[in-house]
Amino acid sequence: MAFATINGHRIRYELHGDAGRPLVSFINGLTQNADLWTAYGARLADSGYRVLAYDMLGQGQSAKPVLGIELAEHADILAGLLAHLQAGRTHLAGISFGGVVALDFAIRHGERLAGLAVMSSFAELSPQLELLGNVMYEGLTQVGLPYLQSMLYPMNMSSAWLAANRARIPTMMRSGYIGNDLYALQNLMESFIDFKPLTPRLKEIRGPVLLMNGEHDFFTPRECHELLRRELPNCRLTLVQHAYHAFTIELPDITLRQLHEFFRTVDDGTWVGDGSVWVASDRADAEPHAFPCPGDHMRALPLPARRRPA
Amino acid sequence: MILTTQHYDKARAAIAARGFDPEVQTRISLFLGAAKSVNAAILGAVELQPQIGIAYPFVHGQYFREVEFAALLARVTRWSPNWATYAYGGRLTAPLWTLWWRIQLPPGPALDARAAYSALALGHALLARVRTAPLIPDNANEMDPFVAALRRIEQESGRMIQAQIRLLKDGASPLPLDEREQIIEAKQEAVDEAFRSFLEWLAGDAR
Repeated sequence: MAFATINGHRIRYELHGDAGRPLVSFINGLTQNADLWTAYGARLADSGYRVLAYDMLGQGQSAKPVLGIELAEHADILAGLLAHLQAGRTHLAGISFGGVVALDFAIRHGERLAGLAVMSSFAELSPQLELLGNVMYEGLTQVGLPYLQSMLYPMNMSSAWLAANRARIPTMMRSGYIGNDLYALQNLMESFIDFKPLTPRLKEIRGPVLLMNGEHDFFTPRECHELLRRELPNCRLTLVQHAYHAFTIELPDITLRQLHEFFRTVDDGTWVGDGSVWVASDRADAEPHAFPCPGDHMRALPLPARRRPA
Repeated sequence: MILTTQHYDKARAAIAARGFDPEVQTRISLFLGAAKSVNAAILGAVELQPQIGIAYPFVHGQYFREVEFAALLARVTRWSPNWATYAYGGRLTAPLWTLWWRIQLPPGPALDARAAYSALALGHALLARVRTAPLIPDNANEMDPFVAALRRIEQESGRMIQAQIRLLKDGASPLPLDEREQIIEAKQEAVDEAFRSFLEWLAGDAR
C-alpha cells in the first residue's frame, strides 16, 4: 500500500509487477476500492504486466473531501498519479462509475492511453439509469449506507452467486461499510448532478476500446453499451454470458481472460476495432476466448437478428 | 494513524470472545454517549444562529434525538462496577469535549464564522466517524436492548448527518473553500484519533 499527494489530495494506490512492463490501470466502481483488483493484479503481473489499482477520491483510504468532488477531478487525478509514477502510456479498465471516469480520461488525456476497457458503464444517463440513480441516492441519504449496500448486492449479482455467498454477505457488507463513508459516497453520486453526456465527444477516442456488458445487466443495460458501440470509432462489444452488473467480482477468471486478450492484441498490433459484437466464452480457458454474437444482441428474446447499422 | 478495518476487527473479536458484558457495554456507552452529548451541546449552541435559516427544524430535531440517544444508552447499559473503567473512559472522551470547548473560546460560534463552521464540522465528524454497528459480532442477540440501541443509533446518525452535510456544503460561509476543507479534515482527524484509542481499548490493546 502506498500513498501519493495528487492535486492536493492523498491517494492510496497499489502496484503489482515490475517497472518497465506494459502498464494496466484499473478504476473502481462506486462502492469499491483498490483491493478488489488484487487478484487481477497478481495474475496480470504473472503475465508480464505492471498493474496499478487505486482508491478514487472519496473511496477507501484516499482523501474524502466533504464539500464535493467534480466528476472531472477523477480523470485528472489518474493523470496526476500516472505522472507521479513516471508512467508512460497505460491500458485502462474501468467498471460502472469507473467506466465513466475511464471514458472521460480517454477524451481528455487520450495521449496517455494504450487500450481502453469499459465495463458495465455508460456515456450518458438514460431515463432508466437516471431514475435508478435517484432511487439509490434517496436510499443512501434517507435510509443509510447499509440500505444502499443491501440494494446493490441483488442488483449487481446473480441468484447463483448470492446463494453461494449468502453466508459471507454480512461480513462483506460490514467490510464495505467500514471502508466507505456515507458522505463520501453521497459526494460521488452528487458529482452526477451536473453530468454532461460524454456522447458528443466519444468520437475523439481514437484508440482501441473493448466494451463489456453482462448478459443480464439491468442497471447499465445493453442500450448503454450500444450507444458506446455506435459512437466509438475503434471498438468491439463483448457480452459476458450469465453475468449481471458486477461481473468483475462474480466472474473474475472470464473477465480477466477477455481483458488479457484485449491488451495482448492491442500490444501486438492485431486488434480489430470494427464495431462487431462478440460473446465471451463461458469458460476462462476455452478456445477461442470469444465468438461472434450469432443473434440480435439488443434483444433478450431469442429472435432472429435483423439488420441494424454497424 | 488511520482508522482501518483491522481496528474494528480486533475490537469486534474481543467483544465476540467475552460477549456484551457490563465492562464492554460500559466502555461503549461512555464513548458513544460522549459523542452524542458533545454533538447535542454543539446543536444547542448553533441552532439559534441566524445562518441556520431553513435548516433550523433539522438541527433542532437532531438536538433532541441526540439527547434521547444519550438517555437511551444510559437506560439500556448494564454498567460496570469497575471505577477504573470510568476513569479511563473519561480520559478517552476528554478530547471530544476539548474540541468543542476550544471552539467556544471567545469570540465563539455566535460571532466568529470560523468557529461556527468548526462547530458544524465537529458535529459532522462525530456523526460520520463514530460508528459502532461494525463492532457487533455476527452471533450477537439482535433482540438484546443494548444491541438494538446501537443499531438504532447508527441508522439514525446516517440520516441525521444530512443536516450537517447540507449546511457545510451549501450554507452561507465567508470562508474560502480550502479553509473550509481544512477545518473539516482537522476535525475528522481529531475524532478519528479519539475513536481509534477507543477501539484499541475495546480490543484490549489499551489498559
